[in-house]
Amino acid sequence: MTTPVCSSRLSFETLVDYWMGELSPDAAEQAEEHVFTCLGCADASARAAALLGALRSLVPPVVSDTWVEQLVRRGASIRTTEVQPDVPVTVAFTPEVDLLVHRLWGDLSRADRVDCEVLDANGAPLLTVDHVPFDRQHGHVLIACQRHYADEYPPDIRFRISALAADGTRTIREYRVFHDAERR
Amino acid sequence: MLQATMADRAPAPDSPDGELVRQISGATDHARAAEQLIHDRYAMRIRLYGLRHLGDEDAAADLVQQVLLSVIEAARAGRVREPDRLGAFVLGTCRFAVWDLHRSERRGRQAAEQGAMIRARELETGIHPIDRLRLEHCLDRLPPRDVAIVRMTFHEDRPTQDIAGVLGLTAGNVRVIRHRALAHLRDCLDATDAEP
Repeated sequence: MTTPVCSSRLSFETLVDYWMGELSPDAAEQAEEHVFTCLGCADASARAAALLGALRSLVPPVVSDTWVEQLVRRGASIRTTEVQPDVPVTVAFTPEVDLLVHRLWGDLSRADRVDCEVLDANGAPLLTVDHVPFDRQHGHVLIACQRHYADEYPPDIRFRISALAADGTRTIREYRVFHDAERR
Repeated sequence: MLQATMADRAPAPDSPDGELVRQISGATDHARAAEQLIHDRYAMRIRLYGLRHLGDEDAAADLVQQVLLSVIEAARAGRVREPDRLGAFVLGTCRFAVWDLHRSERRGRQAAEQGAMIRARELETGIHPIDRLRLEHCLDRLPPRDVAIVRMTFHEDRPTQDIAGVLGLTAGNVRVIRHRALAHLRDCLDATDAEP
């Protein structure tokens, strides 16, 4: 019979592995059998699934070309701005646009790893994202700028892109993007 | 006498499964209420099963209807052999229905081959909605390496072994860090939910 709670609850780790398809078939079947007898674990399973689903639906601050292509195929309206190092640009989040993409150009041909720092106009750090996706061949990093960032970050933003080569040398480039709030 | 007592008693939300099934199979005055309680009790679990195995919200919603109809019909016809183990019966019905779908539908086969990982937006409404803005704030509180693992897993769909290679970790380490990060995110969301 179904019980509201059970004495041997499925662990959060087991539920995460279940939803990520990382349990063995036998273990997954056992987890399912348990969920169908325990309402508490069914609720915990739903919560785990909701968390994983929400994480998948988030737009990350730095994205790959593939990710942008998928979003365009799903009908999103994206405005891409080409940004060169040390050349400030101004962008506007107009109503018809779903997402702004800033393409930060630079030689990444020797990069093994790329990190991104988001800074305010005075250089104070706002966000750090390590191991970001990057296009080594063409030499760019794509920043996904979302509408709600306007409520969280100042309009004048600097991006510091740090590329680490296999020999340990690090190349740092800075980019500046002014978000025109008046034209939102 | 016992039968008459059960038939007279309206089923309650905490009534055992077996009692509900017997109300239905006995076509008592409370059979409809018992059917509704079975629906309320199992719909979410069938939906979860469908999401996991079909990887699609619409298909999961269809599965809920299909399975509940089969279960209720079986209860009416007295075909639930062990009424006190209704959960096992519902799960068995889910498994058969999904197996049948996989066999007959190309989409089902593709979902099975892909491992039917849960996709974006699933379960965000109806059961446990999650505020994405809060989730982003909770993500910001994680250490950079944990964020990188979460991002590579859920945004870039990278396999665990691949993430391990990028970060110079073992696959086991990645799983441990990911579990810990997800637990922190869950706790952070629960804490912000509790805030006035």
